[in-house]
Amino acid sequence: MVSTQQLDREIEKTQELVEEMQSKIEQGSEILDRVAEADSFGDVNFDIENARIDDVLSQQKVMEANIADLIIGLEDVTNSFGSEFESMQGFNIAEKLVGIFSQTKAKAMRNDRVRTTSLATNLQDLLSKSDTIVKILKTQREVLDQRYASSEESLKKVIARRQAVTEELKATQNRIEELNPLLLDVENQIAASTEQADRTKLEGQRSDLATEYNQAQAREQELLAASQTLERYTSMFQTFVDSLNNQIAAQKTLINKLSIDTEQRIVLYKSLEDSLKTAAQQDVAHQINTLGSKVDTAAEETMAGIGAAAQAHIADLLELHEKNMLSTQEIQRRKKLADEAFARRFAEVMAKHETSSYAQ
Amino acid sequence: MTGAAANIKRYFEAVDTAFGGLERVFELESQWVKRHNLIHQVCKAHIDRLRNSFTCWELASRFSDKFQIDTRESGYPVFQHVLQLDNDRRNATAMLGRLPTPEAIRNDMADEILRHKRFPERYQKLMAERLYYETLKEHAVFSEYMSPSTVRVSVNRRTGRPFYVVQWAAYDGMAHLPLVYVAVIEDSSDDAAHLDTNRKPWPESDAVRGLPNRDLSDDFKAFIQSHSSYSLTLTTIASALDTDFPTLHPKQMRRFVLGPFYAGGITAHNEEIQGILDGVDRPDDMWLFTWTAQEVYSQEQKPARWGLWGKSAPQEVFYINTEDLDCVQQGVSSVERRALVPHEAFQAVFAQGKTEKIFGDYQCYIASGDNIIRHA
Repeated sequence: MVSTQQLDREIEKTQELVEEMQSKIEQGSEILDRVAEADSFGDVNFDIENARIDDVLSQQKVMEANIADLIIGLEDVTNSFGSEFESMQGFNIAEKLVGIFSQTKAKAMRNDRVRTTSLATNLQDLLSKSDTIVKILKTQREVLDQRYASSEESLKKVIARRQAVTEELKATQNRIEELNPLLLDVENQIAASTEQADRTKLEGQRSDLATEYNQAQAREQELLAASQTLERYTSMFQTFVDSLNNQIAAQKTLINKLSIDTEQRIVLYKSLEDSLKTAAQQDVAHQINTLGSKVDTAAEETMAGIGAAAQAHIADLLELHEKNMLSTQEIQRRKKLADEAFARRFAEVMAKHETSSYAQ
Repeated sequence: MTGAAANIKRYFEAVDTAFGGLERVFELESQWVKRHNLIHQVCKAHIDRLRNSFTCWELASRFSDKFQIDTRESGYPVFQHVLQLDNDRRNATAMLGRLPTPEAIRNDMADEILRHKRFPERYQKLMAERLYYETLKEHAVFSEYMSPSTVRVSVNRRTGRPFYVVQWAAYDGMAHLPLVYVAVIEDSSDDAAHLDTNRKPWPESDAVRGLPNRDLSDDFKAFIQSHSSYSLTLTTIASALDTDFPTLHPKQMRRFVLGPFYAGGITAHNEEIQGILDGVDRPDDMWLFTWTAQEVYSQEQKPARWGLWGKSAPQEVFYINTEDLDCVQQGVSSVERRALVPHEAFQAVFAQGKTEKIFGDYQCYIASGDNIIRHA
């Protein structure tokens, strides 16, 4: 049995990291929601929020690397199961010693050892580990999916708001453009007018227009600021949403790789175990039984028939093998694709992983 | 509903019908042939487990990304799913604690439909997951390996030794097939005598885990665990048991291979089976279930030797029917093949006059609804 404690510890650590990450992502999209709904932007401190989002993004990198590292670690651990198979195929020290005196005895000893070893626990262990990691990944993906949907919604709202603000800004600016000649016109009229009553009326008009002009200018400033803030937010949250999207893709790669790895390993190890065990004892059992059935006179008569049957059996086996190969090939093909995607995305992690080892 | 989802649904429906029929077959057989009662009892228990497994798998296929069936050979879900069930069963309580309660899910679902006007797919999946873990927690499923239990104990009147009828089961990881074993084992240990074998008959409900002979029980379990794969012939298993346990004498061993299962349009199969399924119009009847009963029994026992030049334990000599090539190939005394065929499919084959060709080697059972007819 291979020691996998370090991997277990790593898994726990990653789980904590992922939980921390989730709350951070939630914070990020909460800010976004708030911005989308807020009436004024005075209460949102841009720099702090920006720093928070940056934090989320950098954390995400760390977490992804961590999980990728876990998956490679799992590969190391399972590779060491492979060494158990090698030991099953070869002779151990005691058997080699006996082998000096009697090859048959040594073989019998090895066969006994092979047929009593069970790799069931190893397979169970492997499956439960990869299952835990997949669960972490899946819950994370769910959170991401949800957040992505709601953040995108919020982002759309923010963009719509910005559009509304820009439109209003344009309208205000247009109004200012209109007011300018109007004001000039009124002032000219005031200068040209001699009637006291007209002047008073025109003065009133001018004052109204001036107030509106001033208000429009103030509004323009306000809207300009709002538009700029919203623009900054839009780009900031665009980055956030993009990163969520990116994370989702990364999670998919990880889940894909892990599930194909597990599938392939279970098929491979089970068939290896089976063939080793069968080879170890089928011969022996049949030797014993030919002894037992020697007395059977019918045996001789059916010998010819058995020859034919054996050939049919070989044909069967060939066909079986072919089918087996087909399914293995299919898994191999999918594994290759998943491995490539993984290597593309996590090349750095893989390089770093070379220096550490989880299996002892 | 997409094509894949429809296929999955049809597969599970077909499996369910087939297992229902299979249970009926075992039940009827136990009525027809009195001595088969024990076998019926054992197989029924395991078929129940299998059906529970399939219930779980059906739920799992609704919320997990993929569900794989070995379409080439057995028509059963691949071995990984069996391991997965075992694994999930261990975490079931924890998972149930984490998942929202059914009421909460229902509320959310209603909310999603009425307030957000969206299809509540997410909550359907969540509910399926919840039901999956609940089923796993409450019902026994078919595991990778199910440790042996003794169903009967009796005494061989000739030798005065007790013998046990032991059963166990396994899901073979290579062939993806469920295997049920029933063995008759005689015990010649000195302390076997202290077993209260006079207390006959053994109470039926009181099935004993492992062997009644406690000294050997654990070793026996370990032995069985590493000797349950389909690739080992019955002779191999029985002789290995005979050699490993000098005081246990396997007299008879049966193996029921519950499969392959063919579902039209889902599994890949050879021309003959395609020929059967092609004759069926109703998709409900597009399936075929076959199973095999293998048996090996001891024809004599070579007595133990104690001499100056070494000694040997008594050895069983198993009968291999050399007249029958099938038996020789499989290393057994007898092979019985059975097939459960929906009525319509059988009719189609019969109309073409191919029954002898296709079902010649099989004892056929024809299923029509809940009724089973044994083809003579």
